[in-house]
Amino acid sequence: MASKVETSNITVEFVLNHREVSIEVEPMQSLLHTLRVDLINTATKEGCGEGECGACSVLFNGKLVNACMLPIAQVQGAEILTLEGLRESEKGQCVINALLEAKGVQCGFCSPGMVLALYALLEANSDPSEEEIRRGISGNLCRCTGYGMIVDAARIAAQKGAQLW
Amino acid sequence: MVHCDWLACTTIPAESLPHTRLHNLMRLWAGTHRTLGNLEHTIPLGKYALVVPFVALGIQVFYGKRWIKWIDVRDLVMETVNTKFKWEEATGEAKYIADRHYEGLLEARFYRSTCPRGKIDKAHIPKLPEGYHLFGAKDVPGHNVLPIVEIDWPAFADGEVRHVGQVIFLLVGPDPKVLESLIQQIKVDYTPLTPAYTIEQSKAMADGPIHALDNVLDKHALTKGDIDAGFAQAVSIIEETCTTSYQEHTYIETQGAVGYPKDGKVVIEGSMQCPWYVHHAMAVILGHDKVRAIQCPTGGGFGGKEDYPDVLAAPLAVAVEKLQCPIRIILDRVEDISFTSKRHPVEFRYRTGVDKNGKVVAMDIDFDINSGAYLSLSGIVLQRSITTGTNVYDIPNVRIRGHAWATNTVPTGAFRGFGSPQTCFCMETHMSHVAKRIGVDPLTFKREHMLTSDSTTLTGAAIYGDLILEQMLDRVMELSDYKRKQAQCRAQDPSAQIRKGLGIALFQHGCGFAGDLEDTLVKARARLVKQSDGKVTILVSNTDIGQGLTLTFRKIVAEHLDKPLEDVAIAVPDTGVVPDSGPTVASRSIVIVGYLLEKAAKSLKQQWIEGESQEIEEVYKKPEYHVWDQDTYQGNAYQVTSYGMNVVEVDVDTVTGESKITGVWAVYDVGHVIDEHVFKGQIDGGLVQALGYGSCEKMELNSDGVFAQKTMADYVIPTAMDVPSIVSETLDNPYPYGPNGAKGGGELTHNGGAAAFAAAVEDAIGKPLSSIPVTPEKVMEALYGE
Amino acid sequence: MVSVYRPTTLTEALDHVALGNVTLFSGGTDLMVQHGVRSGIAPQFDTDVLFLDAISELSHIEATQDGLCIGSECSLSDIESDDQVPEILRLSVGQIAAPALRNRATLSGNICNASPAGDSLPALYLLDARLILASAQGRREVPISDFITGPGKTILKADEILSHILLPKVDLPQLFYRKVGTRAANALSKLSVAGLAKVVEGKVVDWRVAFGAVSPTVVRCKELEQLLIGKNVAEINIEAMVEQYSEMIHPIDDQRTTAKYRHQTSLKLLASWLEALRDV
Repeated sequence: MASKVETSNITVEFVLNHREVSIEVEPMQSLLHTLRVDLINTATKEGCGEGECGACSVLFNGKLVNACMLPIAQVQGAEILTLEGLRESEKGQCVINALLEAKGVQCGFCSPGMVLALYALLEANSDPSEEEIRRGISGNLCRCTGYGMIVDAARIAAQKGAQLW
Repeated sequence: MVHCDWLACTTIPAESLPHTRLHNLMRLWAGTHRTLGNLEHTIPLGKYALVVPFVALGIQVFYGKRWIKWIDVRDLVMETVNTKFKWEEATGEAKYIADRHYEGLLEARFYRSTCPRGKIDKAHIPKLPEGYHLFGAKDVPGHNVLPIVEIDWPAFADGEVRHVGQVIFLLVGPDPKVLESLIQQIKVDYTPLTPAYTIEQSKAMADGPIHALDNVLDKHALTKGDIDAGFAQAVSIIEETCTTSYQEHTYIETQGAVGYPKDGKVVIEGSMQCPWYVHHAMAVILGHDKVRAIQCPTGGGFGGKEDYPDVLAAPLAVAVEKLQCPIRIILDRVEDISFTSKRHPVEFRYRTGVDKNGKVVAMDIDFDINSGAYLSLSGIVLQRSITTGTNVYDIPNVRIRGHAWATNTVPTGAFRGFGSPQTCFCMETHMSHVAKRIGVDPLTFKREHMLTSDSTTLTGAAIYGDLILEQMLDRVMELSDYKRKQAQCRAQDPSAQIRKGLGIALFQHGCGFAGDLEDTLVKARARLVKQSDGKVTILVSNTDIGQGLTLTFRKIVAEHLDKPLEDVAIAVPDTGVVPDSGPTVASRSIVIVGYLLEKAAKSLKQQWIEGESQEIEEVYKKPEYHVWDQDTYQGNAYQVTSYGMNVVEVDVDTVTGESKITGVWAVYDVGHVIDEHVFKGQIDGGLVQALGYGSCEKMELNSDGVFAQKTMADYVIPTAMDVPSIVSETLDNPYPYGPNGAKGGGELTHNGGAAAFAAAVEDAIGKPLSSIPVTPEKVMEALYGE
Repeated sequence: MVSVYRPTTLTEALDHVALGNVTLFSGGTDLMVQHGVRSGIAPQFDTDVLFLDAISELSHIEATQDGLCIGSECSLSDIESDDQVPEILRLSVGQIAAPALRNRATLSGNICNASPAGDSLPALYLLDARLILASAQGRREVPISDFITGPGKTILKADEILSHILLPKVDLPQLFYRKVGTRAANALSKLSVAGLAKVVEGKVVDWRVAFGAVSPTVVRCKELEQLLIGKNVAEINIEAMVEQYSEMIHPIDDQRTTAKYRHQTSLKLLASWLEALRDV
């Protein structure tokens, strides 16, 4: 096997949950790794490391992305919102409460990603149809709920948070 | 021990602290301050309380700048789960094992066999840098076995390997990159033997048997009535082979554990269903009982974290004891999919005799299950498959024989349903096919054969309580508008590209351990601890792995104590604290342990003394009606059985073979439901998982004995766009030996979906299907042949 | 030591590329998986990495005289939601992966990765897409059918960057697109069939079809398409056409599906496409 090539660390500055962060890291390490290990923000989960399960969903400049696929070097100057930040906001709490009310949380491991995905969905579409909801969470795998009660949560959030979206 | 370096003094034993999220709190006031010690406690007083450790008597708690509470440590009990149900999970506060911080943590990786079968001749280990350690069979202080039913499965492979991926070494050190590099440098020389991957190859025994003389890890047989007399009455004989394949749990959180030394014990905490199994595995490999196992929030189990955590825990315990520091092992997804336990693939061969009245008069069932390299849970899967082999039907003369075969593949283990999804698929499919062969509508045929309350079961017992199968069938047909839809399907244009189909499955699930093993083996004990202030804590070893025990158990106790839910807490399942109420498997938590809690709560209420601490323990007692012979398999195969029916509607595209599931309806008898919403979650989740099992979850062994599908891109589980919303109902049929009349239901919901889906597709295309998953490839094959 | 660069202009980027061996990185959704080592370890790149995502001049979709110009750094979700983009491309791109991935993945990534199962490719072949390959020396334009030469292989030179995708104006109102994935969403393709046509009063004015994931590269055969031009839809010998295309596709078995399924299903979809012309 070829010898490992070293990558020199870089400094990356970005805004995480409305706070400025400056960190020295390996440029190709993922945003997910950076959040969980360097910044000890563990709400965002690792489920697969290959961009398939959505457990690592975060908002990157307002867009839903898989943090495991995003090298930290590309986060320079960006605004990142994770569940740690979202849960402090009224909209975030609306989604969380809806998810709890619908009992769409079982083991909870997909839940952070789902909250982010539901938030992104409602931000783009404040009154989604069932099909639109299912499409909006199509990149977030859940093995416990069969999705039914997460779809219910989206409806509850849209309804109860009608002024918010 | 907790040391607050802010005050640079005083320590308090961790056990006596209140429920305080110490590391989060410390971080709040100290900026980026890191965790202190191995503390995980939750205070219900508010997220921003500051805790100042104070020696001897108690703890002063600040909220903002004010004193608000003085807690007497003598009143404090063990760590409990946050009582705001799933709040921590939904807010991202819940700390799963990979989220936890441990001072001085080392990482660990398995070195796994690359050879499917052979002798280990020599291992070439690179020189280990300072701080890196390798553990193997020679380092085991106790017994190098995993006590999973039998003791045939070594913790570290010793001299031989039986499957690709088998654990040979555990490598420990600080830097994951260095570990990866070292793993790549390890080379093992094997003398290979011809491996057997399939049941067929196992029977052929090339290069001799893997196990014993015949590769049979377990076998059993059962008869009812007189099979020959039965066949003598038959006017038609129908033979069929039905098969099912592997299924991977795909919990969204992979397997993981952390071990550390504490108070003279080796402690392992992690993602698990059964802390006492892990405890026992550690005790066996270390040769002493100074061990402790603690369940962390677990991101899904489905049976995959029933025995497999032992595979992590045993080697980890050896390393922790030796190195005396925290060590973590987390499987990455590819490793998890490739090498952890899977559902048993099965092949059922039926020979069925039908008499002139169209009644099944004899059924001879011979089946095989692929056990993988070691026995593990195959014997119990075999027992369930045999003793419930005729599903919900009353067949007068039956012979059923089952074998579990050793192969050079990953040991198959527990997966929701534990043999029942396979048995139900095979039996439901076969019964439909028998009906069609004799020209009878399958639903009518099945209804005519259903067990009634007066029936004698396959294992020769009377049915306990009342069966409501007729009512269930009527109800599911009503819910799904079955008759009208069936007529529509029959009237559709045969040349249309999209063909509609409707399928139904009837199924059951025996709750609790097989036979009367709850009585002879498990002997569950549950405890309620009441503090002087009237708050009660539940102490059981059953784990909430998503099915909501942290709510349902508390509801049972709160109701029977006549107390508000907030006054009842549940302890973290920690073998240092909780009694052994048995594992979280076999749909036993509610009916067996929940019932113990109901009894305990009733006793406590009766004996309640205001202002005093009290403790009540209940031990499992078998209900009197339950008789069982574990050798002859006669009596009540399970303490009690739950029932279900699923209807699935599909649109099949005859151009591509793809099926779209357009409707799903389900009806269940689980006695009584403790929490409607929580059980609906089990219905939705179990049924979708079963639909995946029946349709898209393809897992194939390649010619190297490993799974061709090993990433989440290739092992395909349903997304939100693959399934519709499920319409479901539960019918009340209270069971006197269950809490509030409840039986079990966590696995029941996975037993029918695959059969119903396959039946629906078969209905749409008008061609028989006898194996799952029913992939588009299989549909095209059925439609257009060779 | 490898370094990373994240220029904000194309010129800067081209200067880097001119200097030596770099890995071009747009959304990175393929690259991060291909170079992944393991959880806890950063993906391993053996050359310098040149990020293209910060080059805003490459993130626009603009109408031109002859059609449409799509910047190579536009995300798939940008493309999916822009009405200027031909429907067949929007449909294709909208079925790639899932929302979060579409917010990062780009057409240039999908094209340069040159996977036989790249889902944007059949539509781009059908639309006769032309690619602008920029270098410090200048620009060249190549048709997409010349650009991809095999699985993972393109004619992109070491000092070039795919900067824009040009789509000539087309007048092809009839559309056919079917992706057969491993599941309904978030799925890799087993096969795909894309078609465009113009039928006027029962006569075929233009007709195209392209197949994805059934051969090392996208299958499109203009000679076969020509056979239908000018024909009456009723006259089309579907069986003969299917037989002709049967020779052209060479699928393989893999962990997702079988060669037989790919072969049979793609030809059945071709037949469906031809039958659909009769309903115009």
